[in-house]
Amino acid sequence: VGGSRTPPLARVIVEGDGGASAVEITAEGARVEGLAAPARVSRVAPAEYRVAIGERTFTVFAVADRDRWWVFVDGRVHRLVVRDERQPVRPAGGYHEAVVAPMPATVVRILVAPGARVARGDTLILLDAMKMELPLRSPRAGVVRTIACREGELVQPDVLLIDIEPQE
Amino acid sequence: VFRRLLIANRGEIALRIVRACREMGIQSVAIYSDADAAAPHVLAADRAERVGPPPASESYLAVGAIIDAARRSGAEAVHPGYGFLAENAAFAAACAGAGLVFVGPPAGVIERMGSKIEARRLMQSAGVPVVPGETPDDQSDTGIVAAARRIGLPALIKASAGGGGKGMRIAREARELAESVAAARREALAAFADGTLYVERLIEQARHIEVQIVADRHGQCVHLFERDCSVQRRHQKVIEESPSPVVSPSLRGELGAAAVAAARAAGYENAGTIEFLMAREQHGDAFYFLEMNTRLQVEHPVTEAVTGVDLVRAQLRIAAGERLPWSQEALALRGHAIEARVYAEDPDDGFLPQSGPLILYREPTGPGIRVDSGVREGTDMPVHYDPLMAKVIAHAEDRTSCLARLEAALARFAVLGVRTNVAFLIRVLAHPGFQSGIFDTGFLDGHRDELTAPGDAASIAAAVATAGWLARGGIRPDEPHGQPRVPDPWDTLTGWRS
Repeated sequence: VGGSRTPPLARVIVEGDGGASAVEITAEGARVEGLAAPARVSRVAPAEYRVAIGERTFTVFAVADRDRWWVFVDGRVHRLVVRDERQPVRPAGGYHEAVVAPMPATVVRILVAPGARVARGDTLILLDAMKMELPLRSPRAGVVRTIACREGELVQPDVLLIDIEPQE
Repeated sequence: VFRRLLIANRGEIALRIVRACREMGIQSVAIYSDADAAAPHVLAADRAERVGPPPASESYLAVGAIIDAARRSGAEAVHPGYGFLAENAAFAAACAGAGLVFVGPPAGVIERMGSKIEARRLMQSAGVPVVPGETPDDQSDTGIVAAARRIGLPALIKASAGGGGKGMRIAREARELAESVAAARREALAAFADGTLYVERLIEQARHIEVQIVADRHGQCVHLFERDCSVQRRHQKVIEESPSPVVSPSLRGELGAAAVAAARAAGYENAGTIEFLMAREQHGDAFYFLEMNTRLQVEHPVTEAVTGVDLVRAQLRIAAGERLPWSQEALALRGHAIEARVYAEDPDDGFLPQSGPLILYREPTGPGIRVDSGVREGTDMPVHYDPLMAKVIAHAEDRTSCLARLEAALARFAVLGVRTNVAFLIRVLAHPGFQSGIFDTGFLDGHRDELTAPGDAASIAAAVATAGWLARGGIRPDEPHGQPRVPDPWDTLTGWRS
């Protein structure tokens, strides 16, 4: 190898909850945009890695889950998507005014009817998840267009429950 | 003791009881709902009985089905764990009626202590101070609202049958009362099948201090010192420790004596906990009886750590009619223990409970570290039950070393596939307010923003670099669990030939 710096294998964008970073991947690790020192990654055990950045070292656990990466470091869980630099950002999907269940839950009560005028923050539905009552509130002011669930129904996450037509 | 014991619970506490059974040569019988057919507690027990479909009301709360399961399995005794039917007098009575030993106090004692009004009356007669409050005779919504006005705001409205923060609401202003009463009622009905509500003055800036007691049926009763459970979120305990950083030796003596007096007044038998609110008042620290928990507590391991005893073993021996294994003089506090509850919930998103598969699950280990958990890698975090995943308990010579030990253990508790509150717990432990030992039950709510802040840049970069390297770096990622793939030449590659 003779000490020569290895060429980058790829340039990618890594997206997480906190935003996106440009990353240059090498055989030894990665250089993360905005960070002076490169990260050197080595495998310790299945799914366990040691990452050295400057004088700090981290124990990192990482697994793939379909198109995303689950990564654990210092008690914190990151869900990351890796895409090539030139690949377009995925369009934001879904209904912008949709009220969805954040997790599997039972619909306890529906507090609005189709056509009802609601203000931002009004409680629309009461869910029961893991024995706790969970109110779903309107993301904005508008009119209830569709109610796509019934009381007593077990609903899945990210599925439309109520559709709000935004109005000023 | 017993030859065979049925464990009427699930999750980490069922596994904890299975462990005690193994050590004592008792055969363990697990129960399970359809959602738990392959759950760790079922696989750990010597045998298992199905009790119903996933909803707890039709399985882990189904008294008839559980008694039938105990009969079928030939169990002689039933350990209820905590939650579910642990404080249900009808269940204890049904066990006795079926000729099964209930590991806990007699049904009459559960009933008395479960009624907040009875318990208070009893405590007052035993000379134990109580907080102003009442269970109104008029249980209509307007009756509860009127009671709250009589007692004064801020008021706590809670399920009379409750515990663990379920069916509990705070009303600070009169206009919040109606909604709080309705919500408390719904949760009380859903969680305990009993909508009776209790109204109490909210003592603010109070600490939650509880005393572990154990009594046998031969008239002996001891206390095993206090636990401080002041770090709570919505009345759900998050971090518990023993000893309390603010209880002096003389106050410890007073608390212990009050707890033993309370247990004796109740005619108590087996392990129980007396909860007190402690408030700093003008004349010094005052404590008030809050309630008695007639069962094993979630946080019992901190007491086990500092006293060196096994509470579940003691429970089983006492239930079998044996004498208390320890005298009060023989019990001593040694070092400091802290427990952190790891929940499958997302602190960055309003602590929403999470469900899903545990793709990777690695518990920390090491000197002075105990992990009691109810899940395994590859299993699902079910949606039907409490999102408590594990408890991490650290024990060390003093509070400072204990904090450091617990923090280091949590930083190595890798769970992937669902989000957990681990980073939040680490922030709580590192917070100067928690480290000082001077905090109250409002601590978590008061510091919420500081406790949910994102991680530092280098740690985020380490995560980003690892994901990028695994995705494009020419090394194949490991399978999440199970056997590794066939040896991969890329794994042995040390560098590029230039």
